Amino acid sequence: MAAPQTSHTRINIDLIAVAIALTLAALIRFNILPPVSF
Amino acid sequence: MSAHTIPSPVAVAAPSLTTRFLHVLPGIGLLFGIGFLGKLLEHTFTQLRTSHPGVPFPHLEYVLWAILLGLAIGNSMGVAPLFRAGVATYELWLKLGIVLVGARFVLQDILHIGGLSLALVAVELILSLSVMHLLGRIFRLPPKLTSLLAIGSSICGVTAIMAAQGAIEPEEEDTSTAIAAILTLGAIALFTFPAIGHALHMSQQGYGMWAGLAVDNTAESLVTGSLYGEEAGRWTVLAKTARSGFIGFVVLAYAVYWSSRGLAPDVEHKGIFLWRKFPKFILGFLALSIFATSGFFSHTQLTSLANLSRWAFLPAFAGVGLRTNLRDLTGQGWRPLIVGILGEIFIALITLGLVYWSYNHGVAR
Repeated sequence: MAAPQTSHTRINIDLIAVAIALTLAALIRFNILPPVSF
Repeated sequence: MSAHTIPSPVAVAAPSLTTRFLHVLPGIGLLFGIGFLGKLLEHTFTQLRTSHPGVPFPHLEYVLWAILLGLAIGNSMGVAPLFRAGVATYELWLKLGIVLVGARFVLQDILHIGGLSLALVAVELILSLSVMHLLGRIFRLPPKLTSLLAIGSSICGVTAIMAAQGAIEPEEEDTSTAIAAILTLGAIALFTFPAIGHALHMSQQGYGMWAGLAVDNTAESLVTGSLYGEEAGRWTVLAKTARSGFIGFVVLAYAVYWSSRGLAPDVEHKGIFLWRKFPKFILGFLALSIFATSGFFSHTQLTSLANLSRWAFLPAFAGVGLRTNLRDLTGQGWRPLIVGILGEIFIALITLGLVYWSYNHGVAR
């Protein structure tokens, strides 16, 4: 079962996810990160 | 310091960022390890099928491998305490993947299909909330447990239940039961929805919309969509994201209802309440879509972002398998589960009908 979480921790996870995603997007946009394959 | 000295505040201070990072590292390693093993198994069996065409090697995608491996580990030896904190980060990887998927949608798609999803969700909400309350009354469930099951099954699974917990103050046992029922039903959907989709020869987009509208918990919803195909998974993200946008309104409505009966605290600032309950990752998803639509990224860069979202989903899929406890299927009392199952069957049929109607009438494209 998922660990209980409050709306407060949910907001933090959301914001952290957005911050990481935007950072990665910026790194890719300015060619600081090489092309990523999967 | 002597053995009898009361510990100073310094001695019990919150762990540093480095300590917390080291604490989650083993679990994150396990999530990526399982996900990567799933990918490796898919690749290995694909090669084996080519080199030995007569041998019936399993034809499973990495999504399913990751879930099966996670289920096998979680339900046989269990997740050791060393890994638990890191495994709990699966939600972060899930949200990160969803935000990055935003770059794969042009804004027009989001406005059209997302708008369609919003309309379908509105219809689904009214019908499913009514049916869940009717079932709760028939099966004589505690009223607040019925509210939690209705919120969880109509909107957004565990997140919605947890958001409602503070607002309507249910019994702790009701929250655990509702979460267990929702997760159990999500696990059932993982294995039934793709089979139904194939039996009905649904398109990737239609199936993805259905999975996003019908499966409650975001993680299970995404996996259910991705098991049908990567394209389906992408549409599931969009439909599910639109559905999650309703979370604040539904929780607010229940909070107002229960406070009017004197059984929950008053909601003083409704605007602030809505903002607090709003899933913020949706804003990141929209932001990346706007950047992608405006030509901010080259084609190669968009491919890189799409691949990054796949890497982020890999540990999330493993986490879904690891935290799904098959013993919960039977260990939670039959009445909430029956109400949940009947409600979910109703929601699955309603949303399937809505998706078919919208595709047959040219509303979706």
